[in-house]
Parts: sequence; structure tokens; C-alpha cells
Amino acid sequence: MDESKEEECILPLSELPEGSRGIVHATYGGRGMLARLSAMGLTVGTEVTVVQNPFVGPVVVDVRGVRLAIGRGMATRIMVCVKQDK
Amino acid sequence: MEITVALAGNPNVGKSTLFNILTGMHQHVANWPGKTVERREGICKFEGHTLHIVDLPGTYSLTANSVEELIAREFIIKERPNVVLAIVDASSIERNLYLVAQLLEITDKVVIALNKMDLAEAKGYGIDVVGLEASIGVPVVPIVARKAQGIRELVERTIAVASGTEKTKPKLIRYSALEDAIKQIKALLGEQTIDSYMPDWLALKLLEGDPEVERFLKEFLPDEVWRKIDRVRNRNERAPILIADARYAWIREALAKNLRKPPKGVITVTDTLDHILAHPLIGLSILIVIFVCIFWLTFKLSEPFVTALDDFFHLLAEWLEAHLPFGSFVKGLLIDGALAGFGAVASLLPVLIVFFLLMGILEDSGYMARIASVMDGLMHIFGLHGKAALPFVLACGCNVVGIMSTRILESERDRLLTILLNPLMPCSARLSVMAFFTAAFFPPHLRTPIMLSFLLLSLLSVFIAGVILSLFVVKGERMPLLIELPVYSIPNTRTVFMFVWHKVIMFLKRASVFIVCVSMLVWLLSNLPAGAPMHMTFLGMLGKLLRPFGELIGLDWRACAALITGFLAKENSLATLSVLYGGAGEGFIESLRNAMTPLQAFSFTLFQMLYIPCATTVVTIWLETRSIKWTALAIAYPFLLATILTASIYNLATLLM
Repeated sequence: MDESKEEECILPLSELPEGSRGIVHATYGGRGMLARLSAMGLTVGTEVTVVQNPFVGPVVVDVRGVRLAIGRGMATRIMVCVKQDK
Repeated sequence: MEITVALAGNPNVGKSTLFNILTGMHQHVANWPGKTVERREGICKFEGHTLHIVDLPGTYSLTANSVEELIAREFIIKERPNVVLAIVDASSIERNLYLVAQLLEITDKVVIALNKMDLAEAKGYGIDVVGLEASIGVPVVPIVARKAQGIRELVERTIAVASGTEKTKPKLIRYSALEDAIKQIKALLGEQTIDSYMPDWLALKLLEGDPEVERFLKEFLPDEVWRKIDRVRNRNERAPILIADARYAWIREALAKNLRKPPKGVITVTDTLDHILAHPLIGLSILIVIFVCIFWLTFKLSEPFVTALDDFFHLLAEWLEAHLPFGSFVKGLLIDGALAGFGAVASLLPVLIVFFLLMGILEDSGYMARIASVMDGLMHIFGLHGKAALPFVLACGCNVVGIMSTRILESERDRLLTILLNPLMPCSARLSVMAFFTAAFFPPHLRTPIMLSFLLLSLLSVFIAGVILSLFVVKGERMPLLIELPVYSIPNTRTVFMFVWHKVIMFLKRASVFIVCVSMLVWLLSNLPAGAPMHMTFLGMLGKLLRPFGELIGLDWRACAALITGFLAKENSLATLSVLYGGAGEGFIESLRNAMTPLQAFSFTLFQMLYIPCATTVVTIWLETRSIKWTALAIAYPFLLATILTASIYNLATLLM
């Protein structure tokens, strides 16, 4: 079996450790929320870096050169594809 | 030439700074008609041209999701300014251009002001401005607003575009997958402009599912046409995502050869600071410390000015008493009524100025966004958004300002709940009364704990009221937190100054006239019928009416009368007490101590802190909610809460002693 060196992992943004980087895979939410996220720079296919992810409170990310604080509830509905090097 | 310029841009890009530079003091704040959003307009004269500059609300987008966005786009579409000046933060240019993309969907008379060039350079970005201009097709002028650099060229090119001397040729956004759908809808719309809206734009908005455009066209178009349009939309459900992608693709192409990004992994000062300041627990603790410092500083720094003003007004009153050629009744009305009112307003001013100065510094440094982020969890308990913390903080200066600042909240439900809870926050007037009573009745070593207990009881009330109101009264979905955390920067003097200026003007315009009139009214109530002894005046009789109620909370009729006048304006209660109990200065404190026990004083102070918003606040609540029902609730529930809390504490303490 050919084990690939990199493993792709799709996780909710709320579960990503600080410092991790990935590509936004999908966002679940109403049209309003999607529009807000797009306007702030967070669209499917964008690279996102997790700056802070404390055990409670908003998740802080860097997207398109901008820093955003995203409420935990919303962060659970943003799926991110993270590349992990083995 | 007269030109109308609309200023558009994301929040935090320095739009206000630019607006202030361009218009100086020739600016005017009003409301957008029918809305509670601020409209700032100003004049800029440049080489024979007059620019009427309209500062549109800062928005990330032009959807129908918020009042601000609607206002911004309606202004551009309906009022047709000669040119739209889009301010873009060069240090986050990629995201900022999303709004520009949407602006170009509406008009091609756009000039981009590329601000914060110094910050972009510091971050490690390299921008080829000339190349960018060629790629996008509209003028791009680099500026550093806070240093007033590049402004001349910006104004020149803005005028050039507005007058037609310079023609723009913006690069079109390609919606490839949706081209067919757009064509179909345009055809259904008859290829014509409807009510100033271009068919291209309408088609795009319909595919995006814009509720305002939907609502408007559904009424306007015949049913059959609408059904056909709907079918096209249903065939293109992913349209909103595709449209957003198309805009970002346009941005990517425009930036491709013109933007050099810094290497990743650079730790900035903002990163380091945010590790503590934006941390949920540490950040919250630091926030509390900062708030305490702000309150302490506010009262400490303003004290000398307040004392000086007080002395001045006393001297003035004495002089007028001796020199005014009127009878004693009229003199009383003018001096002890009107002048006293002016004096009360004047004494508040230094406190407010210092308070808003500190707030302005926090806001311009970028820290306010962290406050919203750190407070989000706590606000969650009341079903509120983190941003709601800010109006509560401002309310401690003046409730009126706090309530007016609820405009920053995006959800109507959040606004309503924050407005209703706002008056429970002690404003500077109430804090002055509290400080006075604490000093008069308690020995120095007890003063700080007593004042802290008042503040804690206030916060407890906000908590209780918040939970009850959000569970039973103000229903609705909570909007999740999504805010930008701007880079920390040194506050700009001009911006902070204008911030303070606007807030103080807000207070003066709304509250001051009221306080003066009310002061005169109170004087009349306590001096009519003429010649009557204190307890037989109108005020006295009102106070006596409340005696049974007063007994509940341990207050006599004089204190009750002071509560009545305190409704009109908080600063009046002290004045009324002084009139009713007699004496002034030290003598007044003597007579108070003879008339009340410390427990009763505590009871009075607690009650007056919570019981009712002052009359100006009530008017403001009505203006902001436009609803009698909510205004009535805003008066009734604090009264109930104050009574229950004060009565419990008073009677319990009496039992235990």
C-alpha cells in the first residue's frame, strides 16, 4: 500500500490547534451568514491560519491578510481541509 | 464646480480620518432620513471647486443584510454622486477590494484611495500602484491619511473623474458560470433600468437572493414574469457562492502582478499583544483592570475642572442675586432654576470629555474590537453579541450616548435588548450622587467597599434583567460573533479629537436643553404655591403622596420628592434634597446626617441608581425604538427591580441590626 506522506483532514475550524493552516472546504449556514463570511474574506477555497483557539470564546484566524474573531458556534460550521505532514 | 463625492470603505480603514482632513470643521452630522444611522456630510473647497462629501457608513459589502449596507448602496444608486471615493486599507488590500468590486458593479466613477501605505510597508507588503491602476482600470492614489500625505493628488484625481476629465475603464468582473442566467433574467426584466436600478445589477442581486431587491421587484413585476425569474434562480442555487468567488477571482487577477506579499510566519506586535489581550480569561481580567483605571482616571482628571466650574457658577449666582433687577420670584427661577441647570450641565462636561477621550483612544488603537471579542462569551449569557459591551461602557459616561451607540449592533433584537438594559448602567450623574452620599455618610475606610457594592449591585441588576428580558420578552436569534481585529496602532490625535467632539455635542444637543428646562420646572414645583411652606408646595405634596411607598424602602417624603425630581434629571435630586432638608455645603451634609441613618442613605443611593432612566434617556429610547411599548417597559421594569432590590436589602438589614 502506498501511504501518502501528507494526510488531508477535514475538521471544523473550532477544532484546529493554534498555528495550523488549511483551506476552507465548506461553510454551513444560512444565506445571511454566507454573505457576511464572504464579505469578510472567508470563502470556500481560501487559505486560513488559526492564530488563537482557546478552550472558550471566539476563534481568531488570519484570512486574506485580515484578522477575524469568529464566534465558536460559527466556527463549528466552517469546515477546513488541513494538510498534515507525517 | 460643485461635485458630490461619496466616501465608501470598510470599517477601520481610516475613512473618518480622511473625511476629517477633507472637511475639517465644515462637517455636519444628522441622521439618514427615517433611520437611526448617522449621516456625516461636509464641504471641501479646492482650487475653485466645491466638494460635497457624504461619508457613507463603513461596510464590508453592499448586501441587504444590514441597514448600513442598504443606506450605502441606495445613496450611490439613487442619489448618483458624481464620484465614489473608495478607501482601501493597503495592508489588507485583498479583502478590501471586495467592496470595491461591488461598487464597480453599480458605477464606474470610482477612485481608489489606497490608505495606510506606511502600515502595508511595515507589514512587508509591496504594492505596484501604477500596475494596480492599470489592472483595475480606475485611479489608484496612495495616501497615508493620518499623516495627511497624498491628499492633494487624491482630490485632484477625484475631481478629474467627477468632471469627466479623466475617464475610468474598470475591468469587468466575469461571472462565467452565471453569464447565461444573468442574460435570461435581464431579458425578463425587459433590458431596462427600473427605478434607477440597472438591469445587470438587479439580475446579479436576484441571483444572490437579495431580500430587498426581491421584495421590490416582486411587487413591481407581473406575477408571470416573477415566476420565470424564480425558476432561473432555482436552477442556479449556488449563485451566491459563485458570485463571491467571481469577485475574489477578479481581485486575484488585479493583484497578481501588483502585490508582493510578505513571507509567512512573521510575528507582529499585534500578535504578541493579542496573546494576552484577546485571550478569554487573561484578556477579560485585563479588561476589568482597564475599566477600573478608566473610571478612576475620569473622575481624578476631571475633578479640578469640576470644582472650578462649581465655584464659578456659585460666584456667578451670587453676583446675579445682587445685581439682577427682578423680583425674588423671577430671580429665583432664573438663578436657582435655569442657572443651576446650566451649572449642572457644565459640571458634567469635564467628566464626559475625559471619559470620551479615554474611550476614543481605546477605539482608535484597535482595542475596542478586542473588548467585543473577549466579552462575547459573557454577552452570550444574555443572548447578546460581543459588540453590545461597548454601549454598556459608554453608558457609564451618559446613558444617552450609550443608547445612541447601540447603532453599531447589526441585529435589531440585540439593539433593542441593549437599549432596554442600558439605563441600569450608572451614568456619571448617578455616580456623582453615589460618591456624594458615600462620602457624607461613611467613614473613609468604608467608602471604597461601599461604592464597589453599589457598582456590583448595578451589575447584578443588569444580569438579572438581562436574563429575564432575553428569555421572556425580547425574543429572537442571537447573531454569532464575526468581527475584524484591526492591527494595533497609535491613536491619531485628530480622529480621537473628533470622536470626543461628536460625543460631547451629542450629549449637549440632547441632554442639556432638557436639564435646564427641567431644572426650572423643579424650582417652580418647589416654590409654588408662592409663599407656602416646603411640605405644602407642589413638590412637597407629590413627595407626601409617595410616603407609603417610601416606607417600603426606608425613605421619608423629602427623599421621595428628590426621587421625583431625579427622574427629570439625575443631578436634580441632590439640589432638591438640599432645598428640602435645608442648608448648603457643609450645612447640607449636617442636615442630611440628622435626617437619615446610613442605612437609609444607602437605600436612597441604591434606589436612585436603578429606578428609572432620566427623562432625556426616556426620550432617546423612544427616538431610537420608535415604540411606546418598549419605552414604557424601559421605565417600568427598572422601577420594579429597584423597588424589590432596595426594599429587600433595607428591610433585611433593619431586621438584622
